[in-house]
Amino acid sequence: MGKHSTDQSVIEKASAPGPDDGGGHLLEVRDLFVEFRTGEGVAKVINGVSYHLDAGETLAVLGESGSGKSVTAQAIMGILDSPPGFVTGGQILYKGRDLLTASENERRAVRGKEIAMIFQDALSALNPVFTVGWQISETLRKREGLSKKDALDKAVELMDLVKIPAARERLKAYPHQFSGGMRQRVMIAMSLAQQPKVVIADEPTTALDVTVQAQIMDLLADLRRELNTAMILITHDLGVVADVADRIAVMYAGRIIEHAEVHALYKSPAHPYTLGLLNSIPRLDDKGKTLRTIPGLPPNLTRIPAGCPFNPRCRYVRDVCRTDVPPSVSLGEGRDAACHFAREVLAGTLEPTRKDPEL
Amino acid sequence: MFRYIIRRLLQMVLAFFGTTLLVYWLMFAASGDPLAALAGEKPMSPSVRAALTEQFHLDQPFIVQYFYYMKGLLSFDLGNNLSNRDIADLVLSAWPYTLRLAFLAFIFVVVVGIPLGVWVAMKRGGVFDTTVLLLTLVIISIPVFVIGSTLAMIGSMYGLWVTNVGGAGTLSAYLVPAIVLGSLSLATAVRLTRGSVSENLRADYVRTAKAKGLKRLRVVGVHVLRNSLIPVITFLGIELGGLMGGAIVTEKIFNIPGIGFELAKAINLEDGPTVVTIVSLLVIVYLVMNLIVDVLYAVLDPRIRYE
Repeated sequence: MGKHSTDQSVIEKASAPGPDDGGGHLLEVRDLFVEFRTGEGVAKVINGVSYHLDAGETLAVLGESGSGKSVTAQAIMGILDSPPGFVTGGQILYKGRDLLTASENERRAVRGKEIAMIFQDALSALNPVFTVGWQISETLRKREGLSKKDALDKAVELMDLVKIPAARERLKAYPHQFSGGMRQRVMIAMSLAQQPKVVIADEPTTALDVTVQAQIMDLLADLRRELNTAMILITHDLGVVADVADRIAVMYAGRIIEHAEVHALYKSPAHPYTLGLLNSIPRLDDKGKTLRTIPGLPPNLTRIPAGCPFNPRCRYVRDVCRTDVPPSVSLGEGRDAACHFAREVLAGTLEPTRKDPEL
Repeated sequence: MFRYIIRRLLQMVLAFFGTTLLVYWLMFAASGDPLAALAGEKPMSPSVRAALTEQFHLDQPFIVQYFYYMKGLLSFDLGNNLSNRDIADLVLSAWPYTLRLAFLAFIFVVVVGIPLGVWVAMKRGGVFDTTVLLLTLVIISIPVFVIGSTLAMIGSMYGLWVTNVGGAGTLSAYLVPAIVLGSLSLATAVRLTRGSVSENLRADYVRTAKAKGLKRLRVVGVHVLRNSLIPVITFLGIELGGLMGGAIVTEKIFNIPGIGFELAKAINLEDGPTVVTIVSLLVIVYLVMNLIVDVLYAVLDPRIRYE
């Protein structure tokens, strides 16, 4: 425990005033800490996450399951299940105002109206016993004070906007009567109802067929252009982010281990984990070969390894990686990476220390 | 939906004949000589016996008797009981007492049970929750005649409430009997509501509703409650059917001349026609309530479509 708290202070110092800290961002997460207090111990789910979002841009947050990307989003929305989840440090600034110290009413005023969220599985995220028209128009009636008829008209507009065919006829349909893709469109329409400045899309395509995934991503990209909404796109799929995102933040074990402009990151990653992720994308000329993976599993968050949390899986591991938590290093042009050898990885000059980590 | 209801109605007809046949047979087998029971100590002259045997078809085989009985029942002729009183009259005079008791008990269950269930579900794991859970368990474990007799005794010892309701009792006199009658349903309703609400509170759509910026009251009161009440309403509907069928024990303890009271009396007197008629009517009430619940289920949960 004592070991961990010293580790944390290193992270705090390292990532608190980052190079992006120019102030005046639309949304900014500063050095956020979240832990889950469960029967098996305290899981440190978020360990000093910082990122920011400006009006109209798209930030992709990338990471494996359990890397803390969704939890960060829930902390921003203030919908973290508590208990077991507790925010133990940091700030979430929306237009300069810290949401974490705001009253519940102030937070509620931001929820949905300023920052909206699109959830992963629309079938369970939509209420099964209300019609989609009712659900899309609910906030318009209850928060915008529209009449029932006006709210439903607006709902039809929103459904048209997300390209649901025969929108007016489908107002009275229930979520289970829609296909997966259409349901996700309903979810998107609902999130846009109050014209939010920020939309957080939490793995919006994970539950969908591959063909439908592309359609939904296209829709999100179109909407962002048309409405100039800023978007945080949470995903574990490198394939979907390239066309949509402006910047990418890669998360591992509750930290952002690399943050870069999207093309720069694809071109040359500065963290071995990102490198591993990019290498694990199957390619056409790989036919017949074994798919490349990153060996091992993400760490148990109740027992994050000392030093760099990625060190047991890293091919480039050095002694310092097992003892010191790497600070976030600024590499210029808004690029950061939390690796002791970020510059060498970026330049491609770092030699692997082992073929496969001993696991 | 229409086809579903028709199908259910046909099932109801089968269930109706099945249960009445069974009850009729049980009563037939249980009563030795109903005429002797009727006559009591006084010997019955052979001519009277012959006339009564003729009147009640007592010399006929079982199935023929059942047939005569059904014929009468289906033409709304409930017939006379062994003391020659019109059974329809008897039922019509007894049922209002039972209905008064049943509705009071039902209102008690709904008004106390559902809010209490929702409340403890939201405070799950707390002292209040544990206390309520324990109390409901105690209530469920105690037989109703113990609760009833105890409350009747306390009420009469200290003159707190009416314990001998009789035929002329005001509605307030039914309050304690209704609580006794409803206590078991109440305990079950609280537990059912608690389970259903706390399960729904963890559902993904609750998170969505929160993320929309809705007030907590609306999230719980509209989104969660509407989903949670589906199993509760099913339970309550069937309970209402049961309550309307009278409560032999409660009516007996508090001397309420309702259906249960009359049924108990008829069973003691081996009054076959009355027993079978009342039970048949109860079966009908029960089946109708079941049908209503099934239809309600489809209305409440759009995912269920019976086709």
